Amino acid sequence: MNAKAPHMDDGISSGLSRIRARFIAGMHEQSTRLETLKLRLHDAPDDDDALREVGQIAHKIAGTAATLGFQDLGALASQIDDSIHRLVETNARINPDIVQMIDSFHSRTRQVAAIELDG
Amino acid sequence: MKTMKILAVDDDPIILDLLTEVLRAAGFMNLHLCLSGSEALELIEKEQVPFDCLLLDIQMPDMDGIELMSKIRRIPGYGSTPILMITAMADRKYIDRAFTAGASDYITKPFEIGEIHARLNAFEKLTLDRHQLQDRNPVSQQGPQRSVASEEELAECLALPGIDGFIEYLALENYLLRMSRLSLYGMSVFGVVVPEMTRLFAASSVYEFRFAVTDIAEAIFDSLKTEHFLAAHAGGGTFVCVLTGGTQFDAEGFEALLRDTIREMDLHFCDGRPMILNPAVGEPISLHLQSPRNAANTLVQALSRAQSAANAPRGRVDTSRSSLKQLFGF
Repeated sequence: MNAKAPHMDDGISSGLSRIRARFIAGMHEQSTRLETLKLRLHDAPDDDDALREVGQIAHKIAGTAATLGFQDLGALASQIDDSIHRLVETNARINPDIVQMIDSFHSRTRQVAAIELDG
Repeated sequence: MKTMKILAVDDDPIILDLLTEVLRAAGFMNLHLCLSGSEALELIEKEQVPFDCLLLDIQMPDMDGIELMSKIRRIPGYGSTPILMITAMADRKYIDRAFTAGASDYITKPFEIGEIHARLNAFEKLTLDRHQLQDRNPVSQQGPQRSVASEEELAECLALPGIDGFIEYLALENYLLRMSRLSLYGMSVFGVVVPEMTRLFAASSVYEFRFAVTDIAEAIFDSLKTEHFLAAHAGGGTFVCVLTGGTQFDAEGFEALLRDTIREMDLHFCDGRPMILNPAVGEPISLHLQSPRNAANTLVQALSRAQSAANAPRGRVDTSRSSLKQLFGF
């Protein structure tokens, strides 16, 4: 799957393209880690460490994805970051909606990791 | 090329790369990067030339950005350095914590490139203005015996670090701007003016003036300390206060309380003359439903109301304990 870089000022477009490539390359490791965490949560929904780590990954991606042209990934990451943050603060249990969101998030990171970059 | 020396701290290398590209595109080439709070503190201590501006993430392992900022503010020379929090934490409580701890401004990730440029250009102008003010009024050459504070010095908005709740005026403007995009529900602003300040201190040293401003700020803090608030000195012995806790505010009662507090401080000039200060407190302005464009303007409006109160003095009111309870709507 090819994806175009977002429109940017000429002055910084080449630098941002390099960072975008680095971000895409990093998605492979993130999606692999998310797969592991997702499986842990399916087996043990009360695995707080796994949930927190998903939140940390989502928080990082939420902070950069949109700036690098991945608005939908950034929005999803932000939603998961907020939801997990609230769960942790209120000591609530993980629910099917959050599980669904994490599944979607994982799928999207895999898609981004599979992006072929233009020359 | 812009000369401002900048330090950016974030545990995410991608963010540091982004900031490098964005800042260099805007001409800010003197940029230093750190991946943690402890690394940043080491670098700050080591550098001979202080940083002019800092960009800090909030959520970092070991030491978060707010703790880092509190430590930086205590380093000599960094009390007023512009600090921009760049963070994905957009909740009101994080914004409150950041500004209370000393942030000059706050932007959320993912950041808009134009917004970062605008903030840093504003900080650079502020830094240049301060350097020019110091050049025109060099403290090192004159010492405590300097005879007269300049008009510029009397008009300067003082930072007042060390007094809980007090932040820089520019930071308070930015706080209202950021909060207006979330919610200003339950918040109000009021102004305090001391009408005699400029006249009283026209023949005083800058140190004496600054001590008096600090004393008034401490009196405001003492009178407000049961409330959640942020306040700033707005220059020339005027102050603005933002109440964030949703309680009702009685300007007339607070004015009487503040005057009593200052009277009890028994202030004097260096030459032994008593310092008689009678602050006037303006009617509060509710911030609920204010647009972002108007939110910062309410500080000016609050000062205008305080000036009106100074021009048309109120009658005295009882400041017994029962009336103090009524003061804040209990």
